[in-house]
Amino acid sequence: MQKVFRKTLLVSLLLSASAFAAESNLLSLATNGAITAEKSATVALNDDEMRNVVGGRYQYQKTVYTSMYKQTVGTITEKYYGYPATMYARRMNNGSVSVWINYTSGGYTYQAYGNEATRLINLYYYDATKQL
Amino acid sequence: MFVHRSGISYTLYLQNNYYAQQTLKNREEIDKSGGNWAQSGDMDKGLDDYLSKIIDAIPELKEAEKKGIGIGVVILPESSSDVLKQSVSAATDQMIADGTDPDILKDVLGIVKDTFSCDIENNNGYALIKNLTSTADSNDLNNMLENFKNAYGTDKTLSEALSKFADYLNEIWEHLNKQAGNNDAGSIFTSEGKLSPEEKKGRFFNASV
Repeated sequence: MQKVFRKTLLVSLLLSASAFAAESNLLSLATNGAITAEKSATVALNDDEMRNVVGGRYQYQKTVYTSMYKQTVGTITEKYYGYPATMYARRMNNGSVSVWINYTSGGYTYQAYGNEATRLINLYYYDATKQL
Repeated sequence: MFVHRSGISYTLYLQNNYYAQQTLKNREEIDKSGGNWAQSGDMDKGLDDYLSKIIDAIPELKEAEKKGIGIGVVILPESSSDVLKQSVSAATDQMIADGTDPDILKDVLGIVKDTFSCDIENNNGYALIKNLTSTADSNDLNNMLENFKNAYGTDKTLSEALSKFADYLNEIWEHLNKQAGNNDAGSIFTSEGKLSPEEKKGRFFNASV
């Protein structure tokens, strides 16, 4: 009986691990590996931060098509902490839509995180997704 | 956790050769990178100041920015079409009468306001969006489509300077038509910058939104 219980527990653990991996892979796939479930955490701006939200501009650049998704690329003209910033909106073939921002510094490209990234996403997500 | 959002959005369509050329370069780089291009360096130098001058001159957009609304901007090449000049002139007469600087407005091809609604989940550096719906102001959209046609569709062949923008113009044409509920707009130009065969038949120019 104890053996059966151990086997059941092992199978359950394996199933949970594979479900998490699948979710992580989907997110990673949707963003070309820029984002993984391990890095993600839900964030919200507090009242003071929301009061500081002032509109800016998103300049549309191009729509890119692949066999798996349609993606728009645009520039955030106010930049991200002074660094050139690009916003991506992607609609996967299954209909899921994601939005994120990359910035460049010292010749390298990074993904923007934290409250400033959230503020910019809140300002421009609709401008980026309306072309999808 | 997804939260429901709804609001107003504006897209400002401008004609400016300098920034349109930059956009063209960016688009080539985006193609080379397979879509992973990221803005770097000074290619957008001065763009924000230029946009500020225009947006500050348009009270509705200035007010929208104060309320925390992000403005979408599409920068297109300049056209010398007389038909366009007359059309834009009619659309901006009231704004000029309200005190807006005509020199600033000459770059404005159109403004499309729309209302939207969606569910969004903000995460640390990315957002997921679902149930997105939007409705563009039909007057704004009709004016913009008309101005676009007048700007780029009145000659049978785009000038040499404009022909390299054919793909870009086709893309914007498709977006505008999609907003108007026409998902079968096709292309307005061939890749050589000539009016597409469908366009020659007047298929699009005669279509009403």
